[in-house]
Amino acid sequence: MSLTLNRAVEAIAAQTCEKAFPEEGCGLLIGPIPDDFDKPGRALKVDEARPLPNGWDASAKTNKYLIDPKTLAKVEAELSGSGRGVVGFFHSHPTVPAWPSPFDLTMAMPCCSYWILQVKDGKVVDSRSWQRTEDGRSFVEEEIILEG
Amino acid sequence: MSIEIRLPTALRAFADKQEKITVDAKNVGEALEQLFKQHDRLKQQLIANDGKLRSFVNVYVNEDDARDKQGLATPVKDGDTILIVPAIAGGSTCRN
Repeated sequence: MSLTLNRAVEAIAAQTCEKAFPEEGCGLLIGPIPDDFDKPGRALKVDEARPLPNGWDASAKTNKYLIDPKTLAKVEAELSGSGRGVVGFFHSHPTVPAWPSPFDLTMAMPCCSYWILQVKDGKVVDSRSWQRTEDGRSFVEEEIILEG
Repeated sequence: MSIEIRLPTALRAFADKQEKITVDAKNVGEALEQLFKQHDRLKQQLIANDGKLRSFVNVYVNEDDARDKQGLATPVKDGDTILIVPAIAGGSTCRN
């Protein structure tokens, strides 16, 4: 199980999250939809990171993120029939480690990669990626592969 | 009434990789029931133990949020599109 990113995707996500600090940054991960998307061992390859505004009120943005569903629907429509899709999401954890919270688990979709970037003092210091189990009870960490 | 249901990338794996599924229904609830009859793994992903839609599931009829209309009782007509869109949210709050 892995998430493969290129350097451009890594840079866009990192810049988004560093710019958002001390609030949480977030965005979409887009790439080809693999045939085994729902399998625990699947390998995802993301070729685009698309930053989006954090939709929570200002007071909540330091520890929560929200992606507008209508924006997500528009991106899905844009990618319709292309074989590519929104295969994951990134967001930052300002100061605290890049481990998913109970709130992350409650809201997580199956199959997708949830890439969490830990930001300390305005700089990304760690990142980890996770996939929710099909039963929704936990996350499993996946390998991040950087290429290019 | 022929209704098209569109699924997000994350859920297509539970519907034989289909993006668009056509059902025959008079309202949103009927459309979802038809969808679940065809693809029961989707039901596990979208419906909570209390039988209601999970909190992160948004259902739109064309451009309108079904919750702003009549929820599952929202009527649909021939040619309408139902969009199932997850609310993507989370964050560092209450970390494990």
